[in-house]
Order: sequence, then C-alpha cells, then structure tokens
Amino acid sequence: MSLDPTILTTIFKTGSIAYVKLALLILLGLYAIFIFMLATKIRSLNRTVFLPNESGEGILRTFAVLYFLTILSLFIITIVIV
Amino acid sequence: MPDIFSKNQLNTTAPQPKIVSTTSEQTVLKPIHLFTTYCQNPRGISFAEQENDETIILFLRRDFITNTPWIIATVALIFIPSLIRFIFVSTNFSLFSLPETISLILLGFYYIIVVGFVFANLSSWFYNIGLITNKRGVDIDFINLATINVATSSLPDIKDAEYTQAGFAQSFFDYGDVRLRIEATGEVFVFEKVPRPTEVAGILSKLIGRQTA
Repeated sequence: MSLDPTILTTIFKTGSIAYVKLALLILLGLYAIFIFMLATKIRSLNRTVFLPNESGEGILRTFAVLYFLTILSLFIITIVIV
Repeated sequence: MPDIFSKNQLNTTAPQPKIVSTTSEQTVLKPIHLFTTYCQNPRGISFAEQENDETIILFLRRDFITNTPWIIATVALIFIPSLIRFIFVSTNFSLFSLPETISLILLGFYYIIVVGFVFANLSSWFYNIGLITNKRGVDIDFINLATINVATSSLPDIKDAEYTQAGFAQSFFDYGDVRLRIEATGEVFVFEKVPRPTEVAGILSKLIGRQTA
C-alpha cells in the first residue's frame, strides 16, 4: 500500500534530492543559530552567578560547545555526502 | 624566695579551652552538586553584585520532580522513530521512499533535536536559581531559553514571607511556591516550586525579623 499524491512523494520519486538537501540545510542552519544563542545565554548566566565546578556548571558549558560542533558537523556532512 | 615557675611544670596539663559557639554563629558550608535543589550555607557559590560582607544563606532551585514531564517526553521521543518504523514494516505501508543517506541524516537530525530538547530543559532548570543572603533575596530566572531575568530585593524591604503548596504532588513531594511581599511597591517576589517551602519561609521570616529588630 502506498500513498502517492503527496508533494513529498513526487519530490522524492522524481529524484529531486536537491530540494530535500536544501530544506535540510536550512533547518540545520536555523537550529545551529538557535543553539549558538542558547550557548551565549549560558555564558551570560555564568557571569551572573558563579557556581562551583562540581555543581555541573562546567559540564553544561562543555556540552553546549560539543552540541554546537555536532550540529555544524551534521551540516557539513549534509553538504558533502548527500 | 618562693620558686614559682619550677614546681609541677610537667604535670600541669591544662585542659584545652573549649570553643563555645552558638549554633547561629557556627556555619558548616555544604557543597553544591548537579542535582542540588536546596542547600543551606552553600560552598563556593557567589553572584555578580555580591558585597564583601554578604554571605549566601540559602540556595534554591525548582524541585527535581518538576522535571518529570520533560523526562517522560524525552523517553517517548527516543522510541518514536523505532515505533513508526515497526508500524510501517508490520503493516507493509510506505508513505514515500528516501535514499539511505538522507534517511540517516534525517534520523541524526531528529536525535540532535531530542538531545537539544533535553539540554534546553536541563539548562532552564539548572539556571533558575533562588539565593537568600543575609542582606537580600536574589531570583535568577531563565525564561523560555531567551530571557534572563535577575530580580533582587533587600531584606528590610520585604514585608512578609508566605508559602503555598497546591495539589497532591506538591504536598507529597514537599515542594511549593514561596512568596515574598515587598513593602514599598507591593510586588510579590516568588521562588517557584522550591523544595521544603516551610523551612524556606521559616528562614526568611527569621531573617526579616532580625532585620526589623
């Protein structure tokens, strides 16, 4: 059983992967900007309140950076591979 | 001539003076961990506008149990792709077919969003901090991941402290809202969903009493 008349189906079946790639890149880019904003906010909060390292503040900061780098890598992978 | 200093010098083991201190003066500083939601006399924490003679008496965060909804949502989100795949395979249903590379990247993107959801919720909880010092109350809010709101109120300005525990969950897990009414403006300063609201309100009442006395 398959549903045919959707726009997505036509896009995929006609083989125009470029649209999908473009949509993915836009989504990833917007998401990367959002995460960058979040990381900036965290840095700003760390200047407002100084928590000790054992409280997990360092973990969150490192995680924010790693997470941003992961999204950037996925963005690059999408450009290169797909 | 009497020999004053030579007699029984070896046997005189004078008892060590006992350090007597009242409980209010003796403070044991406690460390803060990742999941600390309530800490009296926290160690190693300070804030930007803290004065030299200002000590933090109470460190507060939302009770950890308030994180349950997003933790459950995360677990559900983790299993959704597998569930959809299982349903599609078992019913032999296909909406559209994607190349392997695109489906992998889409799946990767989906899980990155799930991790982002966890990260956003965790950081929102982690940075919603309430501090009570010997001079003021400080409420740091990280609202909707976009707004940072820092509110302070000096203790002499606070009229009274009250708490509310509404509903079964708040009574069962012992958390609630602590409200501080500010005398001059009539505004209310709220520490939301903090653990042990009775103790928090009690400590605040004592501090307000000390300030007014």
